[in-house]
Amino acid sequence: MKVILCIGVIIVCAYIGYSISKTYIMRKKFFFCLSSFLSQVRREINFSSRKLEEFLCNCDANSKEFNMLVSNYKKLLLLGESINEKTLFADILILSQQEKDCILDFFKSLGKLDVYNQVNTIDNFNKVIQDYYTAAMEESKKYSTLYIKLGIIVGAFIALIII
Amino acid sequence: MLKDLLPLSMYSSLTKKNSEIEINEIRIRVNKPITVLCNTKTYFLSDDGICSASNQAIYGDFNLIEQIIFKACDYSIYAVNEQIKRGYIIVSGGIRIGLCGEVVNDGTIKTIKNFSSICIRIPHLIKNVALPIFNHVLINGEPCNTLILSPPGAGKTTLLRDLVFQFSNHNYPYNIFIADERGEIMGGNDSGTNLGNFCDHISFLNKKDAFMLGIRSMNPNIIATDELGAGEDFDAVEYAINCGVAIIATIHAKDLNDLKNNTLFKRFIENGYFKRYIVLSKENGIGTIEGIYRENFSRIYGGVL
Repeated sequence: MKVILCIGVIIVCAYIGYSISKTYIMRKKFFFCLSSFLSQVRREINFSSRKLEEFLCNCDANSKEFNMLVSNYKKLLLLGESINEKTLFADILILSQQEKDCILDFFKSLGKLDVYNQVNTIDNFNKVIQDYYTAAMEESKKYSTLYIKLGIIVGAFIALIII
Repeated sequence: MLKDLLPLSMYSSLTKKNSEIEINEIRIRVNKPITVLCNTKTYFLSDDGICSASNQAIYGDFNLIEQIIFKACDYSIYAVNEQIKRGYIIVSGGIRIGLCGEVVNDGTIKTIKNFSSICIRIPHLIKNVALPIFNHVLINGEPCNTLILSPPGAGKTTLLRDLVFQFSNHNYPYNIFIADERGEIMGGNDSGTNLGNFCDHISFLNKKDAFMLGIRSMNPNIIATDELGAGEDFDAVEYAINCGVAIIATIHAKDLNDLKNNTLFKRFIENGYFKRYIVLSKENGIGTIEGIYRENFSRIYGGVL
């Protein structure tokens, strides 16, 4: 019975560790997808001046949070509402306030400028996003395995106490 | 068409008493009542539909105008900035939104901002409106150079569109190239406007380049184009005529005398380039055919010269 309990405790602790580490992986994916999206938007605007709606519809990235962000943005556009933080980041919990402000500013200006200025805005924003991505990657390297290991160690420690 | 463009509440008010097809024009100005041109009469827009009393009218504001423009360009100003620079946006279905506001200018127009008023013109596809004139644009069964003239809003584009369609409808297999500089004839690429089986079109390109491109690449029998105005438009028409291509075009002019006073047009009269002149007015409603004239301005049908 004790053995089963110990295994259970280790699994639970490891899972908690994994959940915490997942946030870092998700952040990394989110910024990677956002950066790829910006490159695509830049290309579409600069070369063919395709309208936002056309390529937002085909936007399907590898990050659930990023897809949610795009979907929230589309929803706001269709409703004709102004871009606001509450709706744009609804159900997205992995971003800091500073990151949210920066992304919000960008989406507020998206589609409202001429080609030259829109491309410049995208380039400047992409630089910031690249920094966030680098930071997220480092964090992910540093912490994602750490929290899983910590979870297992804490689980093992509790198991020892139980025994 | 309008449903996709206007805020829902405004569209509901607009279509409360009238159907969309009756509306010709909507004007929205900042802090001024919204006006609607319906069957050549101007009304105000109220919550209960269009009315004659200005005290019941809904007023326009910056937000409403900005919202309509942003929606009209599918949330992508950059995609239509070249049109904005020229003072209008063409929306799906050929709706033309004329713009007024502050021009950002550094020698050349960069864009227009802080829009203060817009004029939404709704085109109408009226079938067979060109039937009464169709036989007159043919000489010995061949299309002749034809100019449709009228003041703004008298139905030139509608007539031109149907005239082009009639060639196909009457089984004349002429290749017609439409130089649609403002995108109004075809109503954008996605409007599904059917102008017959022998039509090719190029949109949003100036007439000079469009004519060159069309003649070189599409080998047209007829070129149809809207609103001749600038000097280079006339050069393009002359070039096409000299290439042996028939022209069907429209121009803003009150009447034939007005056209004769157009200095850019003088050489066309002297050389007798256009064989038929079709004069439209709003006398008995939009699209009234005032008269059809030969190259020497002798009357074929209607009107007193």
